[in-house]
Amino acid sequence: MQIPKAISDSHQVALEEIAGPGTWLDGQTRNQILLESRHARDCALCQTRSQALSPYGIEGRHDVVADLPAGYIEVIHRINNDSGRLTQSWFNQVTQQLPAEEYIEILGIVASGIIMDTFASGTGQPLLPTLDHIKGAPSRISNPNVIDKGAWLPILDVETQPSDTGLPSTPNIARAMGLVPSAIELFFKVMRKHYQLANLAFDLSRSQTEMLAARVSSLNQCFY
Amino acid sequence: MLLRRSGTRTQTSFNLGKLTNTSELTIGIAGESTLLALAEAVVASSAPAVELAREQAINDLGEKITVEAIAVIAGFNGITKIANGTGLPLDPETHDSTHEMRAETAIDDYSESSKFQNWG
Repeated sequence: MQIPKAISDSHQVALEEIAGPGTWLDGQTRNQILLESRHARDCALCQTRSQALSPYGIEGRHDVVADLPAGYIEVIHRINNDSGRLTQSWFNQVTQQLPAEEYIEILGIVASGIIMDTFASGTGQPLLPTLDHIKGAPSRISNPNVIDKGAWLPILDVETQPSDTGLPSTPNIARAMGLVPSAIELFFKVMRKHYQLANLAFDLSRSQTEMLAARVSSLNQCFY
Repeated sequence: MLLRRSGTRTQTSFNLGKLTNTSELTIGIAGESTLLALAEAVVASSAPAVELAREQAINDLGEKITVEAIAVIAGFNGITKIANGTGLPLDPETHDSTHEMRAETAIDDYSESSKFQNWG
């Protein structure tokens, strides 16, 4: 299949950024998170939980491939396999094991990887390999420019205006990982090549695009 | 909400209940059955089902639109994880203007309060 260059370029850039030091995690750990995320999709415990009426009563151990802390593993697996049934109680539990900023950085890597890998499997291409990690220390500086808007985490504090899409000029989804702006940047470098509210140079019509967006959101039990 | 707005711009009325399987009616969008089948196969990620749905889409809609559709599906398979993983509430403008649509599609079943009620 003919893959748009803008999409393949964005995936390559994302893999390069994942392999480098982030704000809270080093490049080696970030690569490990991506590898664990790919492995998590076949986890037997996650599959059992996802088929259960409630995922919260089933104990067990995740199938793991990476040497990562238990809290990271739980986040990576649950985001991949049952994100629609995550609750604030679950979030509060996992963020007793890791700082909220690390949670956000993991979430950004996992979600970016899901886009790249879903696109690859959808188009029948092999998954792109991770790149050699780049040494360097994360700065571990939290962004103070955030505000509480009712999410589990504070979101980016920016001025927003109503736009002609009916959404604010900077919707909540673009502010959600505000404590770690580099996670927002990584994710939207990929996302913007797959979808934009305006000026997306696709032959797919706007109605077809929004129908697919809405159906995938429903399949993921996403309220937002 | 953006699908509804897209319909308003083209003076088209869509049956949004089909998006959450709360309706047997069609939505009213060109190629919808092919595209929805593609979305379901790609999100479920079963290789044989993806291959079948992709071939059907290429046959019905052409390769370029099929690749673009998969790009959108992949994008939303990722971005929903950000929304779900941060407990993100609706933007106020969206919340205020979508009461009727949320009732039609049963999307409120996925809300934070509904999840709290079901799973604590």
